[in-house]
Parts: sequence; C-alpha cells; structure tokens
Amino acid sequence: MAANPRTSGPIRQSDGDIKWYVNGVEVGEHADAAPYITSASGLTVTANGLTVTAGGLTVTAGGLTVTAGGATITAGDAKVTAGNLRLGAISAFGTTEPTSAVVMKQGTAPAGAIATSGGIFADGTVVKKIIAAGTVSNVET
Amino acid sequence: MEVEIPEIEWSHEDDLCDCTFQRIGWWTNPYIGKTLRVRWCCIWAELGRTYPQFVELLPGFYNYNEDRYEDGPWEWDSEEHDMPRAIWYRQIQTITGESLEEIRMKYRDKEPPKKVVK
Repeated sequence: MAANPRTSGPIRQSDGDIKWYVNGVEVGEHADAAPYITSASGLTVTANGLTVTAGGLTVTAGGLTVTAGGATITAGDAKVTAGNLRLGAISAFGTTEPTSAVVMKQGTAPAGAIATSGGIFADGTVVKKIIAAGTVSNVET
Repeated sequence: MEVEIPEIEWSHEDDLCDCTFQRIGWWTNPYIGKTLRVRWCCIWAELGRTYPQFVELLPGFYNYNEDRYEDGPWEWDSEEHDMPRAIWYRQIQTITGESLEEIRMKYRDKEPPKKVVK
C-alpha cells in the first residue's frame, strides 16, 4: 500500500523493518541485517558529504565511480589488494592480464622542474621517468 | 659528441640497427637545453664482441609466469595495435634464420600483421 503523500520519516513495517519516506516516497529501508538504501534512483548526498565513522565502506556491486572532485586520502594508504593500478583508459592490458602491477597508458608527459619528487610515465614505446630539476629519461636496464 | 638536431628520432622500434633488442638511452632537460641519446644496444653488441663469454642470446622466449623457455615466437595478438615492423622483422628472423638485411629487402613492401579484432 502506498504511503500517504504527507508521510515523511521512518515508518515501522509489519515485519519489523523500518522504511523512510519523504512526502510519501520511500527513500530507504532498514532491515534486520543492516541498513541499506533500496531506492531505485540510488543515494544522492547533496550537502555535507558522506562520512563513514566505523566499519568502512564496502562496495559489493557496480564499483565506485567518481565523476568530479577526484579521490583524496588524507590518512592511511591506498591499497589495491587484488587486481592492478591502471593509469589511463586501459581495458585489456596484455595477452596475459597482470595482477599486482602498475600499468599506464600514454598521456601528457610532465615537463619542467619538480621539487623533491619523481614520476614515471609511458610514452608510445617506453617507460620514462622524471626526476627533480626536470631531467626526463628512459627507464632502461 | 654534439651533433645537429636530427631528423630521425631513435626509438626502440626504429629498426635502425640489427640489434635483437633495441635499447635507447635517452635523457633531456629543458633547463640544460640538451638531449643525450645513446644506442645502448649497439654499444652492448660491440662489448659482446669484445667479451663474448659474458653475452648470450638464447633461442626462446622465457615465459616468466611459467618459469620456462618456449619454443617458437607467439603470433601477434594485440587488439590495439598492428605489429611494429621492427618486431615483425625480428620475428621472421627467429623463424627463418635469415639476416635482417635480407628480411628488410624481402618484406619492405609488405605489411606487418594487423591488430586482432575480437
């Protein structure tokens, strides 16, 4: 049965679950196992961001896509415990797909002085590096 | 040895030498305003002639995922790029034993294997 259009807030269901409504539109549900969002249009945070204070953030399907603002880690490491770190639009990387590899597509190469830094990048045929004071060279044995 | 700005850039697939693995050392700095390039492969080839006991060209791709040497080269299977001509010539050399000079003459008007469409 649809909720009254004036219904807003948590409503306990007959099975014990709690559903949230905004103006009669269901926007979320808390089931016995764990809270989750069931809205077909997904979850949109329009202000103040999303803060996870415990338990972390787990994505079980669909992946995580950042369309603006990038991803910033202010504490701790970025760990890729399975798969690879792919830089650039790389789908298939090789005849044998790697694991635990850093792979990169050719892009815009850095130029000029960099202080207390270094970088690695790919051009069409080789991997290059840049070191402080701007020297760029092939990475070669 | 300082030279004029060249028309041809040295690269790992330029086929400007007969080295099996072309290796180009290359350094550049905008503030120095110079670029150094070294055909390491050619220098190593000269060193190898001087010290043959320290250089070995082995007749097989070492499959590092399977820890073994394989018989015969792979067929080109890139879905993104055609086979580079320099690699193609060296593959033909592996198969036929012909010199790169002969192969260049014979195949200069032919096209290397194309990228694979799956």
